[in-house]
Amino acid sequence: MISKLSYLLSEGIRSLWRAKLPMLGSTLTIALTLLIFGGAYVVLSNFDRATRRLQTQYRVDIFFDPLLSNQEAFNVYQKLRSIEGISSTEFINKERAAEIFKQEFGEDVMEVLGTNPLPAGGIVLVARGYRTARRINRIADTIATIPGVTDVAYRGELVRVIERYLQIAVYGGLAVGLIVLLGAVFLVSNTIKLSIYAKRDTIDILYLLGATRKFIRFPFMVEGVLQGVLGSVVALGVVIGLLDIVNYVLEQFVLYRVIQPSYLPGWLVSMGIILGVIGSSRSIRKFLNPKNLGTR
Amino acid sequence: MIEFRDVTLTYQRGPGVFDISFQVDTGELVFLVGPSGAGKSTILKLTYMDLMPQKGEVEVNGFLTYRTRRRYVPLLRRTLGLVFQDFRLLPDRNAYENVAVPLHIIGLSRREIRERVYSALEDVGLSERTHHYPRELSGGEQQRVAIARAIAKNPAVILADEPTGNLDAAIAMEILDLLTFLAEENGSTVVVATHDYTLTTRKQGRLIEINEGRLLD
Ligand SMILES: Nc1ncnc2c1ncn2[C@@H]1O[C@H](COP(=O)(O)OP(=O)(O)OP(=O)(O)O)[C@@H](O)[C@H]1O
Ligand SMILES: [Mg+2]
Repeated sequence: MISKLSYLLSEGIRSLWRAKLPMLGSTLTIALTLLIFGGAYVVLSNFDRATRRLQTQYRVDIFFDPLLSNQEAFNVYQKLRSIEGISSTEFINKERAAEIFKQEFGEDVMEVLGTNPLPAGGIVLVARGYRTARRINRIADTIATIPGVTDVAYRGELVRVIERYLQIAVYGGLAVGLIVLLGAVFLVSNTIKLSIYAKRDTIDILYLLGATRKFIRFPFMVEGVLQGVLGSVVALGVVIGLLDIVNYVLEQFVLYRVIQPSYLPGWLVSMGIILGVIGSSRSIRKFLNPKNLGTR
Repeated sequence: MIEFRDVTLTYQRGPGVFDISFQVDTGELVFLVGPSGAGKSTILKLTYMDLMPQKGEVEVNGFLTYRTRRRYVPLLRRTLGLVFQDFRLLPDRNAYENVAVPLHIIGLSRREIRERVYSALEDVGLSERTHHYPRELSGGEQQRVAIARAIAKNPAVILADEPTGNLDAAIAMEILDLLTFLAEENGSTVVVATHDYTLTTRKQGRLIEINEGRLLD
């Protein structure tokens, strides 16, 4: 059993080596597919990260009645915590508000007016699952109805825009990915089929000598796996190389770096293997059909 | 043990064989003789179930055509040693590897495969050609590789289609001696299809004669 397995494994490796040209074709097809996929994956995950960085966009600013003292405002602030969909809150007392004002506008209100007219306030971050324009809207409305709250501000418009782009990006990416994948399966099995055509006689002979279809298929599967791994390594190399170039260019201008998603190698290699195996099994199916084996 | 019971097979685009009945016992050596196109290869193909009869039935080593599903055919073939009229060697494998293929299929260990391949190649006088590819071998040498491949696994039944067609008289006799030996000493059932009557007169063994798809008696 073990010797049979090792024989079949070595048969697979060997036939890959013998048919270098057709196998180069299908390996490159796999590599190209994965390149498109890997690229899309990198772009999407960086986009996702960038939008998450814009977390401030999911921030709601609250202003309390200026007539309330810090303590009174804090009591109102406590009620915010019970609202659903909020991940963290921060209280800003009147003095802190004056500091922020000074930072942003360069004027010290105390010096100018002799008194601090600024209201106490609060900052609320919307929790992950609630970051849609509609839900943020609802949270803001709820906050606005709390007595003592005079004003609620958030950048709803921006949230909506981000949302729209994210949606387009995700659905677009999915659609493109699906088309690419279907095309790839077709292309890969066709290129592999070419290399199997050359082995038609071998398949017939093996069958005549008592090989089961499983036995005949196995080396082709090994070949598919190897092609998948090879193709994904090539694609991975190119993606990483491109990332380095892009980052090198970006470095000259901005502080932003494009990151390589940590799952990328795993994803590409497993997708490569799946593509190779599906390609092989699809293309060999016809030749292993009992109707096509032997004399008619 | 091989038995044909009223077997008829007609090709879609050609003649075939008709109402064939015969039996070959275990350990018997049988010559299936007849002119070219008589139906000898067809009968052998029916025996290893490359073709299935349209009428009647074939029984080989306990496998019955009407009961044997396609996917069990490989099991039958593992009990058979086949020499094809057109050799059917793998072109990209050397003599050693070609002879080893059926042994890998039945799952022998590497060591055992080695021993058997060398001894089979020696039996057919090809010890010096183990690492040659088919294209580097003469027709007769290729035929002997095909014979070595058939006998290496020591099968219960050997079906040889014109196994001496490309061999000179001396080597042909040696091969026939080998097949006779396998039948007599090993208890293998041996069926040799040939159009060469002179071959059969020099050896013991039963004759089954066929012409135009029908047995003569
Ligand atoms: N696949 C096929 N389709 C149609 N006709 C066939 C097919 N195979 C063989 N035949 C025909 O069936 C008849 C018997 O063929 P077969 O190969 O059994 O002859 P044979 O006795 O082995 O001849 P030879 O000594 O030349 O090998 C021949 O007339 C041949 O042309
Ligand atoms: Mg013939």
